[in-house]
Amino acid sequence: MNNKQFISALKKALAGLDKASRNDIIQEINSHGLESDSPLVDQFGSAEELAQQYLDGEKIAKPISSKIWGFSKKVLMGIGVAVVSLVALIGILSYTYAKDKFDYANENADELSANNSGWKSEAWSADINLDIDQASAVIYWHDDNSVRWNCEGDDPEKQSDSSLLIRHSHCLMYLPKTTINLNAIQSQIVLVRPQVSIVVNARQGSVKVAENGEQYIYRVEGDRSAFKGLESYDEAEHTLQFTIKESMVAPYKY
Amino acid sequence: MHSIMCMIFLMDTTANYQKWSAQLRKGYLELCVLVVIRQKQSSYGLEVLQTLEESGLAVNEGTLYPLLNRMFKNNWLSSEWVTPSEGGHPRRHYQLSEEGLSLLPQMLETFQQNQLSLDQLKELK
Repeated sequence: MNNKQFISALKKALAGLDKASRNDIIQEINSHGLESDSPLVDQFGSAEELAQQYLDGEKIAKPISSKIWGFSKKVLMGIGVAVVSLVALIGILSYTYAKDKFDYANENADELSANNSGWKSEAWSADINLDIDQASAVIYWHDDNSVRWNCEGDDPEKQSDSSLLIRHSHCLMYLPKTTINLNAIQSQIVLVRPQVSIVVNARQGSVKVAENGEQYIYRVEGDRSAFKGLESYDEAEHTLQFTIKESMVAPYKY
Repeated sequence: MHSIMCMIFLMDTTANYQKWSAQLRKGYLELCVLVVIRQKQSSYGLEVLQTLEESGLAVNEGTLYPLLNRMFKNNWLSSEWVTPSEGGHPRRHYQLSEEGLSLLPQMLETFQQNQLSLDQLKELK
């Protein structure tokens, strides 16, 4: 490093000092360099170290770049706060709108009354294979030999005398107390106090159980799945058998 | 005597000694610089450095110039840029300020009093 480079580095390292002080120091060190034989770097060490000697105990003015950064930081912080607020607002709205319309575990809810508009039914006494594809379904059981439903979206599609398909829809559904096989893909299912044994195959979805005081025998085979919060009772009358892949089985909570 | 020299050598290598030495030296060096500038009435960095060295007090350039700057900021020194009569680049000349002039006798007295106290302690039996 020659003297010119050293002076340049020193000037940069002293950027925090007021201009008059910095000019005096630079000129003085430069003057020393002109009179002495050896390079400044050999006499003073690094320009940064020398600058530090000057800066110790000095009141350091913020360099312009810091001031700009300081202003930018305030702007960025403002934007950050706005973004966080927006995300929080979206979160609150999502929670509000995504929340269940009523407590599905409440089997006496007005929404479940057959007198409400939108409810449809079909006589059904056979066993049921219920396929649910990219949909959500809340399933109840009743004593009638019928299937009753109220869907937002397409109605369940009867595939055969023993098969029903719910696709891209959100349904409340009453089933007769017959054997049921439930196959769900990318769907959210709520089983409210099942009154029969059920075989459930679920993939990439969730199955929630509102036990409402009942006890069940749970049999679970899972692949990259979670089963939690439900307790199995061997003496229970009904068995809920789950074969789940990338899915979750848990208690229903409103 | 040999063991004392060894102890001094060992002390010299310790960080604590270096710290103590630096603290002692700082005030002492300021006093010496004030004395040099008073004797010369006006002097610049390189000249002060050479004078101190000739008196057996070796000082780094990186120590002296920031020290002069601090003493200037403390109002112990005043400074002006002087171009030598024979020509060449301007030099920053320092003089004792009024505050420096009044302070120096007190500093010398304090130093001499400390030296006297130390001498007496060394004679203590």
